[in-house]
Amino acid sequence: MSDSLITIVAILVAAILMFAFPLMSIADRNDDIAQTAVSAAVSDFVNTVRSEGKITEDNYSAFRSKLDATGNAYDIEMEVKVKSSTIGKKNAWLSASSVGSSVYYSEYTAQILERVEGDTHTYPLKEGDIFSVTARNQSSTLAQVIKNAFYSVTGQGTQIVAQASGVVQSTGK
Amino acid sequence: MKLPNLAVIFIIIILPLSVVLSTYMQLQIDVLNQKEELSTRLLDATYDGILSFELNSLSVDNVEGHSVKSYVSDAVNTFFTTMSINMGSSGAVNTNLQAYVPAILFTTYDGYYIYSPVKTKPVLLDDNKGIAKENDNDGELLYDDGTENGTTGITDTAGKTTFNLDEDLPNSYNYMVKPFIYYSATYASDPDIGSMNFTNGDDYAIVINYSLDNHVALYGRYADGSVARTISKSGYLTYLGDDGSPTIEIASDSKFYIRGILNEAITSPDQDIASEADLVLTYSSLSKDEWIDLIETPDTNYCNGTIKSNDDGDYMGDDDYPKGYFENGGIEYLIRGKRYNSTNIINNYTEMSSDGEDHGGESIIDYTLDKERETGTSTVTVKVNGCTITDVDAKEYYLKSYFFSEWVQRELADKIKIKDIRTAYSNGTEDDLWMQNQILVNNQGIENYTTEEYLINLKENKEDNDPELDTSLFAQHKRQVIQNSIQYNLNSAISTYNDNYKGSTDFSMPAFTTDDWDKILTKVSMATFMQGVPCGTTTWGDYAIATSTNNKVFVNKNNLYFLKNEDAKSDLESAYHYVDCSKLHEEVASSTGDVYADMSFEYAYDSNEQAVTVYAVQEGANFVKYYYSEGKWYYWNGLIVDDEKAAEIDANKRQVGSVYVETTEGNALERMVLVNFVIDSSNNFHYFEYAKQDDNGYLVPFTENLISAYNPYDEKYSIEPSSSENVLLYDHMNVDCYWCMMSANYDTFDFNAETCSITNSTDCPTCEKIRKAWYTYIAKYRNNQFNMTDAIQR
Repeated sequence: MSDSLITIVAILVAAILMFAFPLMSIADRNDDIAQTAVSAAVSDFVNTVRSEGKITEDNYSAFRSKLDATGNAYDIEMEVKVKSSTIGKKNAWLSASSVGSSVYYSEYTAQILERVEGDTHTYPLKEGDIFSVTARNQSSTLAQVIKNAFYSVTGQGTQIVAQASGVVQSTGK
Repeated sequence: MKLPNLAVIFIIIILPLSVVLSTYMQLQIDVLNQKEELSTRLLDATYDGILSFELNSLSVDNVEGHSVKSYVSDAVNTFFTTMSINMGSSGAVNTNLQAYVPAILFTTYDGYYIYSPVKTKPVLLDDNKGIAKENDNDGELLYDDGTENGTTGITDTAGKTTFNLDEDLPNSYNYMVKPFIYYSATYASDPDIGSMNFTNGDDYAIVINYSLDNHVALYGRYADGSVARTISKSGYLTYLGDDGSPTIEIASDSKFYIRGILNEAITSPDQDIASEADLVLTYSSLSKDEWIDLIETPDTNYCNGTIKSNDDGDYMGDDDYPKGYFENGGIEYLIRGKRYNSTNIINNYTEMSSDGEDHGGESIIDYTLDKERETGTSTVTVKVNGCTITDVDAKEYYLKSYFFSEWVQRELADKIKIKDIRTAYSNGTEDDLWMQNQILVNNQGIENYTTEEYLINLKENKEDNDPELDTSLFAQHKRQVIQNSIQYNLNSAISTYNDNYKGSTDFSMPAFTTDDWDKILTKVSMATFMQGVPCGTTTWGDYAIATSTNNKVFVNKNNLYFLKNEDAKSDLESAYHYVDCSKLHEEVASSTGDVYADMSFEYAYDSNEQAVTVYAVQEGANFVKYYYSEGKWYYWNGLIVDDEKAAEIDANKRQVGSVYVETTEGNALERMVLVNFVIDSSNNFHYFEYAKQDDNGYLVPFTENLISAYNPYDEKYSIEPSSSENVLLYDHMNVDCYWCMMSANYDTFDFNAETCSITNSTDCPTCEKIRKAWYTYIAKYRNNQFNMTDAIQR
């Protein structure tokens, strides 16, 4: 009786060790690879935009397809901080010493995409603007699914996050 | 074996594998991140380099001795310094970095520089001692006359030591900016240029130096009928349009001043005849061809009349008649071998010569326009696409461009074919074919390109032939030529470095994308390459391209900042716009006067931080804040005020101070400091409230109740009589347009279109004004640049 109980437990343990553990390990590696690919894609995209001074539909869709190639769905958040070098006028409220320095106003993913996917297929930027992109996975990866099952983690959690930003270096229009 | 045992064995095998794998993966990720980081740093360092060039280029002026090359060297040094610091080593030593940089490309307005390691002999020149050579043993430089080490040293007649450098000295690398390479191409009707004599028909061999815009320089020889002519001229090529609707129109009653030699009868060999006088020629008195001859035709070899001799049968200019020989008296003018009276040419191609200066050519335009600059009275009317140009500099540009373009059209347009492109030292070899293929194959997209297409046609079909349009054949061909030249030279620089580099890295030129080329071919740009940098388990290599938008060497649309009129310079409410911003159209529609433009650098680099004194000036019931620094008044936002306003401020200024006040807020006691306050006539406080938006510099009245028995004027609260701030001060009054210059996403309109897209009228006076301003300022700044191009060294 106790022997068969031990056997059942042993089979369970063995099943977990022989299947779940390697699976988790491989899924983790898979995520690492995806993370690497996503970081590279984001950083590449940001650098391209910075040096070209514009976000084009071509670049954006190339970036999207690089992300898609990892097999996950991603949330892409873009932000352009548009530099206002307008002197003093609109930014005097900040502080006495900031008169004359630059302030920024932001445009976000929806506004940017409206332009990028619109008639002009381009969102032009100018020298001095700041462009940043964050990509995080939307669908859960295999590693997340397994971990959730084992560790009973509530909520999805985010596994793959990549962020890059920088100052735009040329005026694209 | 039991199942658990199997499982344990399995784990024993899998666990280490998993650990090793994950470590390996982590390493790979780290390496990748590091690579991305390096790429970003390379881009940043390149940008620093181009910024250094921009700042330096602002001092490029019409002064001898300025050298673009030194600015490029500085940009390269800046790049290395920033990159070293970015990579964690001291900026002072960049030799560590140099080995990874096979080349740096720096493109400027009319050519480019390549920075790369060059093999040179380690020698030192000394005016007194001669040439020193490096001692093989310890690398020390020695002046060696050869007595110690054999016979390589020779003492020349001046007592200096020279060496036969080829034999004796080892080569070593020196990192340097190599000589300037023009954007040029050779065109010749016959591949074997050396065998041509340029006396029949279509013979020509001409080098064209291109630039980022429509400026070209032409050198070479061509056959004008049966006469061989040598040319060396430069100018801006403008699309001329057909005779019915010319782009540039000179009014027929325009008057040109020409400094001419008075033609007097000569009766004795000693007589001095070289007296000069102004000839005023009305434009209509000569035909267009005669004007082109007068202004554009080179002196040499042109006079084809009979050579007149004096009584002895000698040619003019001999000992007897040093000043020339004149048959008739009377007031006539000699210009470029032709005689003119006050209305027109009276004798073509006589061979009068004189000791006077050459008064023909573009000096006619300069002389006429200098008169206009001096007197303020315009004698020449120039219209560009129907707009009358009033600015003298712009006129100079259009007049010179007009005659230059007409001349090119007349003499060369039906000669230069694109397929005639040759290598620089052409003798019809395979290199030629390679060059042609490079240019022709790249242009497959253009119909009939490989046939007998002519390079220049300024008379018909504007879309295809206007050199200023990116879509024209000329512009596309120009880009191919530049691209080809850069590709060839950069590739050879990098592969030469690779051949001589004694390391494991394989240096090679990366393939630029179309977007990359777009940046390089349209702007002043800097491209840096790094390869073979150790990075974790592997090596990293990348390139970066940065472009310049604020410099003084090249004008394009984005460099010109437009204002509704010149008075708007002192009007805070009007903004700088790009020329095609619809907000500019709005502002211009409701303003008077000509539209005005500045160049971007005048604005972009115009600010300095200073400690200033703060004053308040009463304006109505309000007090407004002003700054005072070094004898000048500035608005509260750092912009300089004009003289009239300054006098007004001077008369009404009041010092501001800061003071403690104690107020009752409900029942609580509140202490606060009022900074920059003044007290008005009814003893109320006005102070500058920084938290308030859009206050336009107004000091707001202080309304809270002071606690009873509190007296802020009491000395114990220490009113400070004056206050100072550190602020950024500007010489320019105007702000960026919120729509065009700030966000770059703006509604554009085409001021050249027949129907104005804003007013929907075919004859929009606002468009007309903007058009005129555009033609004026683009020409004005280009003209300044044209004058500067000759003065700067490369």
